[in-house]
Amino acid sequence: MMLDRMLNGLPLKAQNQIYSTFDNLNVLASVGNLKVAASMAPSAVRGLVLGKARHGDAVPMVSGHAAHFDLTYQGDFPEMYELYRRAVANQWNGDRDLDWSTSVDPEDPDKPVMPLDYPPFEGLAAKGIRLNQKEKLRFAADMASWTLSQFMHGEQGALYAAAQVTESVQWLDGKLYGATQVMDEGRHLEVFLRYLDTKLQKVYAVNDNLFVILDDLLTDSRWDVKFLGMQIMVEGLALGAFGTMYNFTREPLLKQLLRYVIQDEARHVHYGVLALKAHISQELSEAERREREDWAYEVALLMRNRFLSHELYYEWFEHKLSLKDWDEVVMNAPSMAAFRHLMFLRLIPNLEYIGLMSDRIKAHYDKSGLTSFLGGKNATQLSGEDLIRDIAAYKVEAR
Amino acid sequence: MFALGRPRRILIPRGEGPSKRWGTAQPGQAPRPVRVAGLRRETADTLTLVLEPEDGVVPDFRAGQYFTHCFEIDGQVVRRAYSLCAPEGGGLACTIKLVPGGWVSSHVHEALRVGSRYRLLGPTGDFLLEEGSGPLRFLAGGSGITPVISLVETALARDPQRDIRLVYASRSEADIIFAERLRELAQAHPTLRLVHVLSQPAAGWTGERGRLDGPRIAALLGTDAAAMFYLCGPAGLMEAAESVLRQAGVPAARVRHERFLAAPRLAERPTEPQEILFKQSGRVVTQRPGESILEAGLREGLALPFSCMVGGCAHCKLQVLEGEVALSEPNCLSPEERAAGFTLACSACATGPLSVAA
Repeated sequence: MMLDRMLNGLPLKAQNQIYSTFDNLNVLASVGNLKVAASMAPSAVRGLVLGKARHGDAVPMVSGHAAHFDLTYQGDFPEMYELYRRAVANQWNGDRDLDWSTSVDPEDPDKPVMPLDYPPFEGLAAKGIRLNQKEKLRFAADMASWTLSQFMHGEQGALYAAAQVTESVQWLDGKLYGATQVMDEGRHLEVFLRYLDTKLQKVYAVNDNLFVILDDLLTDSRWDVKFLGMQIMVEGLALGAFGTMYNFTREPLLKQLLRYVIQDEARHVHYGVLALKAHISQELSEAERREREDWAYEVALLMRNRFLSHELYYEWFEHKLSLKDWDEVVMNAPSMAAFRHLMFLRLIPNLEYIGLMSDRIKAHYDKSGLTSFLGGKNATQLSGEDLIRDIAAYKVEAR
Repeated sequence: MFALGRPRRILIPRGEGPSKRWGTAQPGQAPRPVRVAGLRRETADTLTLVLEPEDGVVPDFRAGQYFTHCFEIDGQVVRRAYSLCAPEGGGLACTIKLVPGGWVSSHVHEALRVGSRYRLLGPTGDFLLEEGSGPLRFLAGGSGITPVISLVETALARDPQRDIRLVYASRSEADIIFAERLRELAQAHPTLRLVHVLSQPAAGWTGERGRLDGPRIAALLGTDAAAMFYLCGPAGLMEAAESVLRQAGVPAARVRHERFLAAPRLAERPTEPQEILFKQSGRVVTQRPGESILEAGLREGLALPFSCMVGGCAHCKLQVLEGEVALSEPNCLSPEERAAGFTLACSACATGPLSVAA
């Protein structure tokens, strides 16, 4: 309320600068656990304050993790080796298995990459912004490019995280499996980049908040936090986001591309829960477990609340609408509800399975309205096909 | 330095057009993932697979064409060409006969279930209806009825009064594939004359019986030089028909045939890498052990034409200028094409340094 009063009457640009600053500070202030806040702070500063992702050609991310070199090859984790075998047997080839000759017109109303029921046009209209049909088609196409661009940036982060985790994981079977995930992430990066480059021909910069999460993961030297962040949290986020796009898009090449990617993600999360369940239950002290639990909760909230496509706002509405109003429109859009549903549908049961859902933290999730997903199927009980089916089923309920 | 006040980067600058690393995508090269949506038993040893493309887009195909089905069996991708049995504009459906001891047909009959997934290449094939409204004559034997029923139904959908004769050879009444569908077609279209010929009929069969030789084929099918003839069945039946039609003065251009392609006997492939010079582009490609000429060329990004990948369509035919190849048999190359030095890139591999006109 105080912020509202402060913004009132200021020019839009000034309103946005003040809102952004408070909003960014709010990210850190909202983290309840001080240790968690401290571990995230450097990345939040680099991403939100210094804007490291907004200029230059590359950002160095230094990690202090150690490679775990196995000298005896004695450890045995048959379930993980089975995942490795499945991964090897199910490799697909992005160049060969997708029909890149498919002609894609992102503004084609018959086969839209992003149909007009995805963008928050109703919410925008309620704020006085009405787009004509042509503008709607163009905006929907831009939203598709923005979304897929973030998928691509996420996959780049996943590629490096998978490589780091492969180095530091202590099970040999995990290293074998990890190598296949590195290949998977490389392939995902390839196909999203190719789709953006050759079909949509428009690529958006990495979103600051996504950058913060990726930077935090890639620079954290604790292998299990890296692992938890990548294999459970970001993969959960990816499943929500890919699933939502998969449900909405009518463009056949993208649909098939997403289908392949989602099937790989099922394996990735399965690996994550196998490794972490063993580690959390056997290796961590209660204090360490509690810190991971808090960290997961904070990241879950960040993921729920922070992907608000600001790049689209600055491109389309900077002079017509305040950033605060835009955030409100996006947060209340039905497509965001679909994204959140699919993300937490998978995330919450996995956190429960690996032991990061004590009664203490459940109360926090409950306050955030997320406990309805407790008791759902975790990644060890789900195949890629199950995921696709559940994703498609949500569409029926939602629309 | 604080980011506030700096210009915000929204878009990533792009060069002039897409990156060169992608090359040019070739149409129809990507296998199309499909799901088995239905299984329909036609006879004791034939099964129709009703297929749904996973992307929801039914590919355009023409009556009489086939898809190359890429099954994964025991960790290996195995390709077989099977004709469509649906009329043009219909869904995807293929009827597959169980070959005793056949590796792939056993997989289809025993392992595939509703919901199973695999990939298709194609469609391809030139066993197609000609434009026009003249008489059509079809001769089918056994599972050769598969593309034929697609042609007959499509022709009748275009012109319900079309003069069509279909002679269909089966072993017994129980072996007639699409028996009911054919009966209904004949009932609905008086201009369709349907003749079943059984080689081992049960007692009580009042229709045609016995083996079909040249004279009987001529008698049942007619030799009207104005008609288009379509032949599909076992090799002996096809040869007898072609011979008798030629003798009767039917021009070769009015006879279309679709041969069954038996499972390929893979030629022994070299265990060492071999260099192939593609003369047209001037590119030298190293063929890896186990690769075909086509696979090596595509891997290196050459725009080589291909379709069925099983030696059945000759879209990948190319001429050998220098060097030796090992070619898997059987395939669709004619004796004339072999004599002129052609080979099939999908089914051949270089056994030493090779130069090809492609």
